[in-house]
Amino acid sequence: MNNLLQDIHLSDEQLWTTFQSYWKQGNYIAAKTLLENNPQLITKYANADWYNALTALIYELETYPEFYKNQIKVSYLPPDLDEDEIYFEIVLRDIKVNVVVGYIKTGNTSVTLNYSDNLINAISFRNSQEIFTNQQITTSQVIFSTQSKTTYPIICMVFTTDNTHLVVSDNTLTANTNSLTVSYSGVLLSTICLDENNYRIMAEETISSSSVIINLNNSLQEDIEVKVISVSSTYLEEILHRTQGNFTTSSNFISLLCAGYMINSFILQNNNRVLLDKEFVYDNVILSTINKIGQTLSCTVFYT
Amino acid sequence: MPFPEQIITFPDRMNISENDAVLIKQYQEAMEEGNLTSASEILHQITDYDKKIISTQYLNLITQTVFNLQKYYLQKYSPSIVVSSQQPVLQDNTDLWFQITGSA
Repeated sequence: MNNLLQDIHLSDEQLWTTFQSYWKQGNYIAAKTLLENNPQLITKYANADWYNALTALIYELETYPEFYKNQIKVSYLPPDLDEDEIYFEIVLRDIKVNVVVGYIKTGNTSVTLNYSDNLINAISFRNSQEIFTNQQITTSQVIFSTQSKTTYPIICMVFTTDNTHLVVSDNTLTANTNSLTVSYSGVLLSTICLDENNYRIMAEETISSSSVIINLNNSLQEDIEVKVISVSSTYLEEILHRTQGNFTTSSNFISLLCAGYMINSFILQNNNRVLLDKEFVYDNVILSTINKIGQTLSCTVFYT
Repeated sequence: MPFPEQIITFPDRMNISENDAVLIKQYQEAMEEGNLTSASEILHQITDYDKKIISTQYLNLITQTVFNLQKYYLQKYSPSIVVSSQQPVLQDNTDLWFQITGSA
């Protein structure tokens, strides 16, 4: 449909009269021939072909969404995805992030995050599997419904947008505990999420309280694994319980801030290994990463 | 159900043919006389008459589907998100552009 229709013009009067005459006589073929063969009228009538072309275009638009099938979508929230499809998530946060990851295997149908003395606002949930449909949000608590996820590990991550350390308090790191406390102060929380597929995204906010408690409601079936990683320009600094982290070193050593913890071994993979007898660590541990600058290393800390 | 609940199809229209001339003339005369009942009876005698007439039902279906299409695309692509090497010329406020800066 390249040509738009026009009204008839005054200059078409003679042709219009002729057309009417043919039509009233019942000489429809002559009327049709007049329209089709006269360049002056070619854009001044709509026949079956014109309507068919119009509706064909509409049909094409209706079915056009097929064009992005199997393409990768980019969105804040999960689009309607079929199995094995992926999408790019838009996350508005700084590249420099601190990450707290808790792996929680729970038999309960919900996990509760308590934010004592903190106002949570601008919360949205993303979840392609609708497991957060029953969430309850108050100013001090967020409850994540895990429903059918009871047999799967749940991952809770807290991202911050500055380099302030996130510290996991030791009293929550006991196996089979029912709560997990993430301690921090004055950091910017941008995202908290549970599980790889289930994120709770908040507007960036400052949390002034000193801790976040993840309450497992007596439902824990297995140990909690907590990961705290603070990335600075020169160090990987970790305070960990049975945890590990990958990092790219830009220095010839890493510093493990382990003061006050009972550590029984450190393993720095990639040809660097330090194994200590079980001992109480009073100060930080420095592990050599000499000649490993720019390489990706992994560090595992065993803790009893 | 309207679009997008289902894809609306539009049966092809047909031009009148020479064979329809007699009935069409009768139909036209009945309409001019105001005899709508007779006109309707004559109309139904024309082969494929439903494909040779532009009814309000047909026009309304087109209009409604076009409206629903506008609404569908407006909701689905606002804000628009584009992944490209060059900044889209028509990028509007609140539209998002992801720049491709290299290759894997």
